[in-house]
Amino acid sequence: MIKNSKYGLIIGFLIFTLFPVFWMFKISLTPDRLLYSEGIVAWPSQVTFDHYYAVIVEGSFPDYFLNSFIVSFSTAALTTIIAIAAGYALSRFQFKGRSLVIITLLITQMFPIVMIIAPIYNVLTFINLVDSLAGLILVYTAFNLPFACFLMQSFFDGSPQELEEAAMIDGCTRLQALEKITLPLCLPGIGATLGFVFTAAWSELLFALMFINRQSQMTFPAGIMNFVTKFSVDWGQMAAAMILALIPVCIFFAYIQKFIVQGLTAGALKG
Amino acid sequence: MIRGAIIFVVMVFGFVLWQAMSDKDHDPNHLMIVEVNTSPERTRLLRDHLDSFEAANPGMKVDVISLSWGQAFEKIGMMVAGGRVPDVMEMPDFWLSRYVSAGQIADMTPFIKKADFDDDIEGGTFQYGSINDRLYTIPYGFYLRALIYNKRIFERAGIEKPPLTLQEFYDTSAKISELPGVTGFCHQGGRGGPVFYYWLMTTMNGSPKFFDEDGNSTFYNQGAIDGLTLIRDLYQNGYVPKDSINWNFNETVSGFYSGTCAMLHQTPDALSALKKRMDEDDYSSSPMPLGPSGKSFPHLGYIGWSVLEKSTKKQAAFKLVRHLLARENNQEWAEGSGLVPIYKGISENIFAAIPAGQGWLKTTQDDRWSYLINPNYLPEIAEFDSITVVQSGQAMMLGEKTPEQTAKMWADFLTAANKKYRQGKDQ
Amino acid sequence: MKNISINNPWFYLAPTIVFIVLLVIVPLVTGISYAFYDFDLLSGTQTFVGLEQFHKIMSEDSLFISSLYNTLFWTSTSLFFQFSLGFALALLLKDGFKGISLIQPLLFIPWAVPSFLIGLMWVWMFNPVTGPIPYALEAIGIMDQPENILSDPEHAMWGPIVANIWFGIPFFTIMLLAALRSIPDEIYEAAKMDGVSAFNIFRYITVPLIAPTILITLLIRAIWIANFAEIIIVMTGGGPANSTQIIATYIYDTAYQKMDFGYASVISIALLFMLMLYGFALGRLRQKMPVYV
Repeated sequence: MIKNSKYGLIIGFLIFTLFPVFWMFKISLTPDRLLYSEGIVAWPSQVTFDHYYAVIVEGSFPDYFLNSFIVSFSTAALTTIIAIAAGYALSRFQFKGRSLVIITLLITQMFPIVMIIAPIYNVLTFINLVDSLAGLILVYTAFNLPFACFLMQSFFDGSPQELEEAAMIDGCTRLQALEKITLPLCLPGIGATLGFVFTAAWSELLFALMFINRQSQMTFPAGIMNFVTKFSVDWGQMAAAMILALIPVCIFFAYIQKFIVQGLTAGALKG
Repeated sequence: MIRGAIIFVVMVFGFVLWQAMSDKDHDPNHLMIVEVNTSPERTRLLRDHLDSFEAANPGMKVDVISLSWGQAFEKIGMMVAGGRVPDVMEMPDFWLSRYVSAGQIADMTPFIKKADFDDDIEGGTFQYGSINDRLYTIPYGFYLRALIYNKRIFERAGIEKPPLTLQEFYDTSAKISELPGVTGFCHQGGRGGPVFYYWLMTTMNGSPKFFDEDGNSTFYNQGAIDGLTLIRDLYQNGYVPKDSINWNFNETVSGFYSGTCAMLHQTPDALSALKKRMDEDDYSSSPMPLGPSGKSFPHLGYIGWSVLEKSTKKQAAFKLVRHLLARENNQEWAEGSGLVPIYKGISENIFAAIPAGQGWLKTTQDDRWSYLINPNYLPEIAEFDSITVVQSGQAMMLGEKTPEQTAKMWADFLTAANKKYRQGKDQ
Repeated sequence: MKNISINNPWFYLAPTIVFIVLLVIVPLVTGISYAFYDFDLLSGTQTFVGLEQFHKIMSEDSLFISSLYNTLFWTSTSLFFQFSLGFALALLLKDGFKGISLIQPLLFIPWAVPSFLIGLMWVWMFNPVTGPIPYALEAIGIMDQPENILSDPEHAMWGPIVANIWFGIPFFTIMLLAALRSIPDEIYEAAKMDGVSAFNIFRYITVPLIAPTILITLLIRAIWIANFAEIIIVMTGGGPANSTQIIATYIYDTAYQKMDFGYASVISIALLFMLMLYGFALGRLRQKMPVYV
């Protein structure tokens, strides 16, 4: 009984989550002529794969996806690595200036990005990284770091410090204790952080749009803006591109969820 | 684990360093041109014209940067502020005074003269691109408004011809709205829509002027108020779609081709979007309806090419502008984009060739129609057009403000801006 | 020497600080400084005007006040539903079941859709010509006839809010799920053996243990939602008649439509100030909580 209602609720969540995506999928298969005349039917009377063909073969979307992947993967890994270090410091040390660091990290999130995009542009111009994937990686890393730090800190806070101290008494260095004891315990947190930053970078539009000019360096969200012209939106192709863009994300999630699931249950405690 | 992480970080920084060192910026010997009203077909045509420019001028190369319309204003503003200044940029009318007053646009007056062009260039072309008698942009064509209508819906409602006067426009809208699920007019209540109000207000006033001799706005006049009352009534009686209150270009055009509404106030470049989704026999166009004075003032917008003041290759840039505006290029450009070209005698051919081109053909030929040009020399015009009128227009349609209050508010805004402009000019 | 460095917290914080200072703090200070200048982005001219622009926001800006109310409504409503639904979903997924590894990635999809596309997608869904929602609302009797909620100034805000809820649930689910799974099973087993009821386990064990994650996610999400303008810009543009204008969209309009960066910065500082008060309140709450681990 309880089990059934649980499955019922999960199915409810699935429908709420997937219905808009299904609607986009339907649009991606609908020929342009039927887009409005069959606007509210659940499935078009005629199905076409033209939009997918246009996106994959005629457009530059394979390039955009590759760029997006390079940027998102690099950002996710870089941010997580740096955030592990910072989160560790915030969790394991009591020191002068700790509150200042935390408050500063928080404040960076409170100011609207549209107001600071022009100064960032000038910084990037100065280091010659405007219009390049590397510039995007640096900016994304900087903007995702504060939250990633807090996240890692909260996971370190939640993992028992005693084990680590015991290992250090047994002769491990601090870094060895971190590597052998604490990090395996925090795998769910690391997985969540990776997943969070990867998707944030994957779907980011404003910076990508503002900082990238060359077609060869465009990420997928910026590329999708090509479908929006002053007078019309190419809905079919846009929907097709969006559906395609969701596939790598699903694969990435499927991969990192192993970390989230493992966690303590994987027996890290015993090792 | 930690070692792996360190190796990865080093690799990423290697990549960053490599991209920072590599000279990805465009070749300094190349000209850079920025287009803002981008669409894939148009970008291809622009590239063709640039190729022919390169062929005619050996040693010159031109790079294009294509911005998408929605974000173009923000982005190019940032590029210019950040010192990455293009040589030539596409300049919509309502940005011009902003850029000119910021000192970013090169004065073309000494370099390009009307005499350089054929005699048969449209009269206002150079005047529209000038501020205080200095030439800052040369329009490549005109976005003229006409009324596109759905023939099939008109037939179903038993209406034989498109409305000739504002009264007929109102009655036609009312009659069509009796059909189930259809309303008369595709109103554009969101961004880009205010020119419809300007058309209504000036046409009811009987004069295409925004200001009287004393510099006061003509929106104080009773005609302007009557114009706003008319569209307010259309909305409140349900003769325009209820959600059109915040429609933008896209929704308006799609409202028309989905058959939600039967009449569309648009520029001819909307026709290319219609053609993809409707049968060409199903719609046509007519000039904007006439006001009580027997005249009508459809809005004329324009976009031109400007050379930037900070460009280091101005001579080449002027040459490029001249090339893009050459007669045969301009004709091709106008045909491709659905514009009224800047050369006389071409538009007749263009619009006569399109089945739905009747409205524009008549507007350009008949004296009862003359053009309404926004006061684009006012730096505040962009704010007025994209924020003030949009939000307060919506409030009026919803009945939160009366047409009198709304017209007065707009008139106050414009009068103040105009006085400021006149003062600056006198000094 | 080596030992000193790996025992020094600043050693671990250094990379973060370098990134944040160069790419966030320096631009942020520049952005804040606009408030004291009459600043024109295009010409780059700056004239110092002191506190002049702050007077306007205190005295004569009625749009600021109305956007402030809208911001409160937008943020609190979005946050409430995102959190409660996201938490519920995390609890449902916590124990795992057959097929979870297939379903879980699907449930996280919304978080990966660019916000601009989310806006367009829901505009499509709310439109009676192209989307099913108006018909669904009519069928359950909320609407008399299928209409677009986005054009109704009374209820238009619900459009972006629904889109935002859809987008934000996975964030809470992922974060809270990771926190829930970090709780050792032994604790639950011990409690069960002592005969503690399921509700009391949840109330006295689960919630306190994941409270740090709850607080930090609530804090950061509220800040993000208050600053989140894209969905509203795409869906309603702040209209009709400013009924969906929040402070973030107002800042965007002021900066990029009016090109008044000075005043936009003043509004941003006001928003910053209010968010700091909120952060301070949550920080106090965190300090009062007992530490369990």
